[in-house]
Amino acid sequence: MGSTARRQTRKNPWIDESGPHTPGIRGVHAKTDQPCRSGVTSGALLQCGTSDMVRAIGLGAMRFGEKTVLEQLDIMNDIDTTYEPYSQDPGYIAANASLISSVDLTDVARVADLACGTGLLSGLLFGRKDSLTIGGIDLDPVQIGIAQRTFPGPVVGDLATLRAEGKAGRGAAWFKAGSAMELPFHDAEVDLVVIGNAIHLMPDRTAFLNEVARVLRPGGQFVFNSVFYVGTFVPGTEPLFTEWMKQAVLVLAEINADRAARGEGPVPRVRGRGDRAFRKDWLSGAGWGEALQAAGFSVALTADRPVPISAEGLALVGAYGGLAEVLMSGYPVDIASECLMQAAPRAFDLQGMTEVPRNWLEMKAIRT
Amino acid sequence: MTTTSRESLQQTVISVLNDTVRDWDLELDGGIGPQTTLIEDLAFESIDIVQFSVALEQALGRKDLPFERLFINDGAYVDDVSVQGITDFLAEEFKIAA
Repeated sequence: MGSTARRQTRKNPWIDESGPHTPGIRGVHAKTDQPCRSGVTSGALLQCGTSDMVRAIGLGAMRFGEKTVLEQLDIMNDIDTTYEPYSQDPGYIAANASLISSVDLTDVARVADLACGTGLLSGLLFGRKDSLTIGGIDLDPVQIGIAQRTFPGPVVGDLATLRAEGKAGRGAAWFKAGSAMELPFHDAEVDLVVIGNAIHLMPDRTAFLNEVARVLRPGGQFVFNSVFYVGTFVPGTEPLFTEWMKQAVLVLAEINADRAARGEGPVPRVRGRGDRAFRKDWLSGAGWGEALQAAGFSVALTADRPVPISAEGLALVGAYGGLAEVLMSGYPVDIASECLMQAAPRAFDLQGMTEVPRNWLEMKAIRT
Repeated sequence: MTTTSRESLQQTVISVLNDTVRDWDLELDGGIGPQTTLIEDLAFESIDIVQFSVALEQALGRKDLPFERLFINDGAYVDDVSVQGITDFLAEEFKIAA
């Protein structure tokens, strides 16, 4: 598939879709193969602790409402639109930690972490069992670099070395930029495949599941979660997400008003860059179960796990450029991210809420 | 504005849609009418839905229309929505009898 893979359609006018996952920076979307549409900042920031910077500069100012839109725009170059800040959100980490904590690692030695991003799941797995050898794959080389730097154990430079470490009984990780649709592993080489909140992004669902089935040994486990599926909205919580998007549009209007006051035109938008609305192809848990069975798996677990999202967490979601460019398609990504970031606390305030639950789908299947 | 009738609601919907798509390169035979759909006919992207919703609220003098009831059904997003469907939704919200 590689560079020819098409970006999966993910539509949802209120929040959805491309969802929080991977960083879309430095030329490619990490979990799709689509080139980034705009050169969002972050590369340099990633070298110097972006998350703290984002929290300190962007979110802090926003949450307490002490900065105007113009002031925010002045610091916009310091806002990280990669996936990294959200990947460090406590709620996001808790959702993934709960997933990993439920995995039976008794007979697991070799792991594939697909669309691994910054290596969160790999680190959690290694924390539970430090004799694991883990191969992490992600389209985005920047995230792979972060994973290599932050993994809490030995990191090797190639797959052959990883295999050798495994044979010697030593745990290690190897992170490689590449597509989850074409895995570098031998047939039946892996005991456990995990993919965190990205399976809905795979451009060809059947081909992806077949590829996972190929690399898993019989009896091997396939574990994933996703926050983009039929059932993700906890009944009664939809208005918060509706309000979030409406507020983002109103923030954009404020930005345009400020631009007009300076004699500038409105924020330019190029239509046609996004998919049409509602062209989602989310599955339910049952739907994923059917797809897994068709690919040679038996389903061992299907669960909905409600995970609370705070205003700050939602702002971090919005800051992620890969989502912003989908939710506010056609607008410059940095401005879209800014709108979504500022809209999050406003939406919570207007709804009189401090956090909102959203269901995460958790599934475990066994290779038959 | 005064929303005393279903017809006025529909006219408002059509008016806001016309404003929304004014600069778009669309070919619409007969213009926007009750059967016009946002996705198939007007090629709405996600943000277009939101901007249309906000513009519609402003035109109707409301800030609290529960658009999720219009766009989400049984936990999933609808495939499309027509001017007629939007009007039905608004009529219900404004408690106007069919």
